[in-house]
Amino acid sequence: MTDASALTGGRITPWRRSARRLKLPVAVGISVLFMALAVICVIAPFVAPHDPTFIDPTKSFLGPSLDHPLGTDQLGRDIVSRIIAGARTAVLAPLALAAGAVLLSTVLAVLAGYTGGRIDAVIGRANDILYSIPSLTVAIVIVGVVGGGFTLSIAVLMVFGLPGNIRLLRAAVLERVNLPYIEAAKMSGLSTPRILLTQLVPAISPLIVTSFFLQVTFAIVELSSLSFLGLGVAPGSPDWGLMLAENRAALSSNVWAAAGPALCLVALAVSSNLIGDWLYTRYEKAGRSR
Amino acid sequence: MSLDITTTETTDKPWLISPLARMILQRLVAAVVVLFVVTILIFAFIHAAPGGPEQAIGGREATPELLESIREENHLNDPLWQQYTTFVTNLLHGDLGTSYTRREPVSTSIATAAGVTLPLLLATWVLSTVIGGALGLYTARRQGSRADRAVIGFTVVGASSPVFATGVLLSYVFGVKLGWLPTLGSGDGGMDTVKHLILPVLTTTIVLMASTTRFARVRFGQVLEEDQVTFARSRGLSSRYIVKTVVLKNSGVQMITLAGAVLVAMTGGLVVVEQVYGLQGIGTLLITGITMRDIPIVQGVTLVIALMVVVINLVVDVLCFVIDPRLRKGLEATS
Amino acid sequence: MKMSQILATRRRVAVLVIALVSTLALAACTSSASDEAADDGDLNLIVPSAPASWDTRQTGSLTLAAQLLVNEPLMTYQADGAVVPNLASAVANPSLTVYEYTLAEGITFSDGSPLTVEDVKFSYELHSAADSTSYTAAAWSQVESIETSGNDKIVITLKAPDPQFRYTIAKVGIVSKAYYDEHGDAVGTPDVPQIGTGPYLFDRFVPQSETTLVPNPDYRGEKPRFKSITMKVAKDDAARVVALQTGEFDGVVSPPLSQIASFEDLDGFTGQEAPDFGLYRINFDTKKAPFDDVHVRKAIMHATNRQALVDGIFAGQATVAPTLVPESIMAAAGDPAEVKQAYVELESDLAFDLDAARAELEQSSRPDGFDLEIPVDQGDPSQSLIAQTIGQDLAEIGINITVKAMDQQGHGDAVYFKHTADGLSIDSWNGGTPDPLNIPKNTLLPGLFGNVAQYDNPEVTELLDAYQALDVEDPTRVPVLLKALSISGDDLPMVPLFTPKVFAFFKDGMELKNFDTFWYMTRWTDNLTTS
Repeated sequence: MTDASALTGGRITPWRRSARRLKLPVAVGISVLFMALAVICVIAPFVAPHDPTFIDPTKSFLGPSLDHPLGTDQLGRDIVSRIIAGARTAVLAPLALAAGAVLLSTVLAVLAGYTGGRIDAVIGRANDILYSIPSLTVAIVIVGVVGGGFTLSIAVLMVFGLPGNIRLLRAAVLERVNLPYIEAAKMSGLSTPRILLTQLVPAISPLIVTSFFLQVTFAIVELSSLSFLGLGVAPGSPDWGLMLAENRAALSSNVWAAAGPALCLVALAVSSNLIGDWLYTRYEKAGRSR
Repeated sequence: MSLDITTTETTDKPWLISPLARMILQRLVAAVVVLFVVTILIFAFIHAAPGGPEQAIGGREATPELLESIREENHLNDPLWQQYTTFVTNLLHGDLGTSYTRREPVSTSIATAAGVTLPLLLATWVLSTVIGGALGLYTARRQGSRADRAVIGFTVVGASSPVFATGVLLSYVFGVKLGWLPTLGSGDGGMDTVKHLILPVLTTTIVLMASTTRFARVRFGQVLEEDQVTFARSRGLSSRYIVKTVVLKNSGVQMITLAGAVLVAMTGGLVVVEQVYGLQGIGTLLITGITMRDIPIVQGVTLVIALMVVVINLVVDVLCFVIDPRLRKGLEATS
Repeated sequence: MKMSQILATRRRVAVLVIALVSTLALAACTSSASDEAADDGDLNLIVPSAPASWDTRQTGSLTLAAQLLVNEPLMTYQADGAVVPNLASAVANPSLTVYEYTLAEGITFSDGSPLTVEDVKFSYELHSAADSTSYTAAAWSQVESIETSGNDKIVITLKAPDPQFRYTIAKVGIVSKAYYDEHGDAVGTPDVPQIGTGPYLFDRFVPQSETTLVPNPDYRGEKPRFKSITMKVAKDDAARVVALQTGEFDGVVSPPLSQIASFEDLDGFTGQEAPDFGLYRINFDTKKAPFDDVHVRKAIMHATNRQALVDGIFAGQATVAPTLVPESIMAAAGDPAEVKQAYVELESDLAFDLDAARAELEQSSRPDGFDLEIPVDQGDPSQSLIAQTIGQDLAEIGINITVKAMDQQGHGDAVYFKHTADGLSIDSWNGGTPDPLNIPKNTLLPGLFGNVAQYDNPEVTELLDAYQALDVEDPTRVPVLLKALSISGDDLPMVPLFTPKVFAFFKDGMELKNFDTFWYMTRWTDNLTTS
């Protein structure tokens, strides 16, 4: 590509985007649809055709059939019903985790970046310490000592989700704190909370939104990784990550026992990713046109 | 924007040492504190874990007397503060202790494991930041194009798949279906080791590249739309020049921060990959150390990882400081 | 931490990095000559575990498959059950407590030094010393003395008769005393490879992961047939299946029970199976309420559908166990008809009957049921499957369970060492020697590790002691053991669930002849045939 076309390409972009803005991109549409489906499963788990925890040893590892569209697992439990029941933890846990992590890190990053000085130093050092802790080690040790549990896993992952976000957001804050318009706002006697809420936070909000949805994606992946290491939900719970971990060695017996929850996991993570991306693009545009 | 640079050189306080050196010094002091906290934390947790190392050492037929004598022999009955002091004293003499189960110096175990992990870590890091950065830049300049969408699609799916699922899929495709690459163990040196490392590196790179590409694309996209780029374009400067001097420079801080973050994230994330591919790296050493309650191993490995993370962060900060004068100003203003 | 150390560490890391990068670069330049696939001379196996060190005190059961090829035992266990002289030229039993071995002449270690009786004595004292950290120390605790006489005699005196001792001797590899004197505890680590008199040498060792053996060029006997034997551990279930599919490996031994179905579906591999000497069981901590109440124990037993577990979840990989000892093992030691009769009776007491379970619970101290947490070891997925399955039926009689996954040490601490769990646990227990006494002894005698139930019935203890005092050939032996099992069966400190089979999968055309649960104690390389 020549220099000239690259340059014009840069100019064409806004036009293309506004064209796209009129309609929802197909991928995003599918994502929203999938999310809605997942949410329905969360509110109405009774749509499941079978009891997701009912064990029937005589039906171990059945292949897909009319009665069991994705077959059964080793204990003869219906995979579809378990996927539907598992939507609850699959959707709610990452959302809670990401919301907590991003909210906390925004507050701390803005506080640190804007006020600077001692507060920045304290938050920075505390953050460094958190950053320097091999999160997985501590997760394993803590879960081992306390005895484990899903809530604990979420809490631990939330805490370890902080440092990266704080660093990133703080860097963004620092970049803007010394910009003329913030300084002008200070000069004009705006109160600190007002400056933060009306000037600084909006300025870094595209980054916050991106962070949130990336965090959701990470959370989905990380929680399932914890299940893989045996640290997540209790054995037997209908959880996508756990189902994938439990059944992935039995691909030859009923491939859907692992592939079903895996596809749902990836689809959910992709959906949150795409929706986040789409929101970000729109949001950023809106911010620019202001 | 670039006007700020020169004014900061003349300050009202005469510095005895340069601000950079001052910052590094501050950071090193902080690093000592970090390492201190990490070692105490791990020390406390591993000692509180149920099932002490004596059970792993003694085996399942050990008598209570034997367990007690093992505890005594390894000073596990001493008060915790005393054990910690001994640990720190030995550490200051450069001695990480001896593994309970492997009967070799912890430093030897770590060096052996690092021989597996470091190539994996470095290869993944370089690939994911360089390719991620390049793809990010490429797509940022062509937002909405077919290539852009393809790249985004790939990164989105890559970032959204659990590492172990990606690992199993890749080993199935390349190991079983195509039969090109080995899927288990770290090989016995030379080309064999390289071959054994390809799939693990590929797996982690796919996952990490997803985030690096995304961030690079967002950041480059922002900078490309900034006034100075428009200004530079209107002056007729070449696209390559703009990328080199304006875009890269202005995205530098975040890209370096990101590269550092990727490296840090990997130190923990490698555990899963090493488990999937049966690699005896640092992550596996740590996991077996924890399951065997091999306290010296756990302490040694966490210390080395923490040290590595501290160093990476320091390097990141120094680099950011060097390339972004605004940070320098901020630092001086606050001191 | 001192600055200089940080720098030193960084420098070391930097050097390592440079070294590695250059290795990678160099390796990338040289052409690929190494061949991944095993030819006739290389044997590549996937094994379930590897030791942290090849010091003989840290190995046991399956890891002996490699150890005994390097460190030969004095006597060797054969697939037909016999224990025959190996490094010994003769063995004599002047009494049930005295074992007198004569060392064969002209045997040398792989470093050229001659094998002496002092080496043998030293090898055994590694395990029998009072403060020994040997995994098999318990088996040696009955040894009164180990003495040498002359240049070729070792005399071992036991405190009491022990029918299992002949197997203990067959499981301990002989090491070089001089080598241990020189290297101490470092023997068996990657840098100080263990040496022995056997047909193979340790070539490469990554603790807890990989071991490669190569032939001992100076071996006195038949030339070893494999150019190399590599054993790799695959911890991850999926990785194990995939690794076998890539064709890198010739086989897998003792894969987890829950994965057998996946291996059976693999093309190019043939499975071999044998009855295991072991069982899955439910343990009740009889010192802990409510399990100190026999009615609670019986209620849970009647609510446990053992047949459903075997037929459904472990289809074809296990048989229902009426008691602690598999029928085949017991029948081999005594009168098969008598054993069969006793086993039918034992089985009839363990019937699945929810009404009977409810009736028992009614009579118990907890007629309304209770909540219960069952700890399971993450390392054994079968435990969790069993817990979930019995949990469903237990809920029917008012006992609500939750399953708690723990790591190996945490689980061991809660269940075996400190008994801090709720009192009901599920585990598998494997026999360490082919004598039928092995499991009953380790699980029914007070104070022993396998006695999770903390069971203590003097009558049973007495019977087991009486069994030990009898000669291996004595026909009254088995009835004594059957009686002990019958009494403990009525006390119900544990519910025997099922005896799993033990499996091995080899490439089509390759077969491990006479495969049984104790194959690792044999000179198995001689029994591995390729067509």
